[in-house]
Amino acid sequence: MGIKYYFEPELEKPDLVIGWPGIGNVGIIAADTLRRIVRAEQFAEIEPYEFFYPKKLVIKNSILTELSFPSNRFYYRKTNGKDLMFFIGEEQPSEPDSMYAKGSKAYRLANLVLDVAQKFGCQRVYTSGAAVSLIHHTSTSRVWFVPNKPALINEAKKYKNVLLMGGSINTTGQGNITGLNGLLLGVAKKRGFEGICLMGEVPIYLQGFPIPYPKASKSVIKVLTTKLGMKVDLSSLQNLSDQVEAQIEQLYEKIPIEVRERLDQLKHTTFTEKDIEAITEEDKREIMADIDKFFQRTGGED
Amino acid sequence: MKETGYEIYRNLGLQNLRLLVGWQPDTGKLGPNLIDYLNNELNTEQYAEIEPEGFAYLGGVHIENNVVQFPETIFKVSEKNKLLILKSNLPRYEHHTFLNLILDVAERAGEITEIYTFGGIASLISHTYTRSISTVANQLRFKEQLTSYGLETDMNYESAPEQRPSISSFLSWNAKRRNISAVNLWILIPFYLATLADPQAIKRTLSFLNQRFNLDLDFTNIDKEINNQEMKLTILREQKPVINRYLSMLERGIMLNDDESNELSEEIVNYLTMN
Repeated sequence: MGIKYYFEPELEKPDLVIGWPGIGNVGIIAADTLRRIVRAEQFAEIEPYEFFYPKKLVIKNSILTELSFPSNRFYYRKTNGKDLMFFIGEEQPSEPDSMYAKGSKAYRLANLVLDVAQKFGCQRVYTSGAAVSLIHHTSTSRVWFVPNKPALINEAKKYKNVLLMGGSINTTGQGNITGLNGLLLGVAKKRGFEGICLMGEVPIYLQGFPIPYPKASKSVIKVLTTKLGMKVDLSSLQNLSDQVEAQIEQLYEKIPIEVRERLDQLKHTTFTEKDIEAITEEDKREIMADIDKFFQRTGGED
Repeated sequence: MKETGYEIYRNLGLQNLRLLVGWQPDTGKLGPNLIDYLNNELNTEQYAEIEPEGFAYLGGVHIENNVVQFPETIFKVSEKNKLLILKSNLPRYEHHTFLNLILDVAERAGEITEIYTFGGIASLISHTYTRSISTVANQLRFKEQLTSYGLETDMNYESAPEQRPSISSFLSWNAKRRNISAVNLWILIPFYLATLADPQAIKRTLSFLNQRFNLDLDFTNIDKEINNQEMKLTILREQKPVINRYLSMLERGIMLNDDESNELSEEIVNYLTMN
């Protein structure tokens, strides 16, 4: 049990872009959109049985004909510039009492992904996820740049719309990346890979919603393609983003005016540290309490 | 013989063993009650046990009917009938490893040729309706062998996006990877008996096993349970015309709405629990 190769492409120091589901599905949408745009081809998969419960059952005429598992696929694309590998995991191997992957199962999966990266001479891996932030949904999502080596910090300065944990976001440079998007970077560090997590901002009041947030994925792709020297057409992702924003707007209009006024303050909290400080931790708690109260009430009425 | 994660109490080395599996909890308590009845009637002996560590939640214990419960996975054997009988709590973690361990431990007893799993399915039927058994086999040839027992063998189903396949399906699929024939038997249970026991469903399943394996089972005890439950439900129908009306509707194939179904379930559960 482990990795199943369909064939072994010849690649030259490819970068590996990884996507798993999470808040707003920011990471998996970013990785999978880029994979589709560059028309990457599948060449391997991680056998899922050890990590996942089956997701689908098909019975035909009383015969169990299909029991399918979440997919964990590797793709590649040779380009004139940088060769690319992708890993798209349909699910994180979570336990019943946890939303995200953790523990030995997650560690094993992260190592298997990196085994493939190592086999093909990869030196750098990118993960991606959501950065739950005090931003408004009408604002452009920025990208938090979290490297696994100090030498990579300066690279963040080369990109537009990108910030580091320390400095713009908070003064300590401390934080957490939950689940495999974070764990993989740690394992990559241990095994000597360069690793960067690109976290697209998702408004704090949308973090509990089971909807995608493609606006953040788009910001992540822009950083990635800048780094890779690629020009890509993101119009389909923009269309999806517009549709989602329209849905959010509809929901937003239903929020009581006093709560909305507080959320509207977030429209002014982008780009400068000074503005961010205008919203305090106390404000943040109050906003979330208002939102929770609103949705509890809505839930009750339904 | 104690190995990591499991303990085997007897060396067997049997040929043509059939593994019967009942999970707990189960709708209508079908799996556990069926296995208990078989173990009792066949005077089975303990064969092996799988430890719960790594598979069950061990952060405390569940209490049921005022008694502390603890997860168990116990194999018993009837050498005479070549039956290996497993009663197990559903695992919470590491399902694939757990199911493979079940198959490993079973195969340590000898050559496993067939696996049967049992499960109840809550259904909008009345308790006076004959319980049907739907089959899902992992091999066509095996399904064809079962067609002469009055089982339903034309089931078509596709799980909904958020609905996870059953542990029995997962076991059956794992068995197929080892080239072992397996069948999941799904027995219809009146929805209002889903949280209680359904002795009629158990008897229907026992009858199939009796015929399939020539077990010469004694049905006296299960018949007593059936008669007892039927008598109570008859009294309830006499006492409560609305319950009689709902049951009559089900008997005539008329659907109940949610409120009616809830009222029927509540009344029957309360009555059978208290009496």
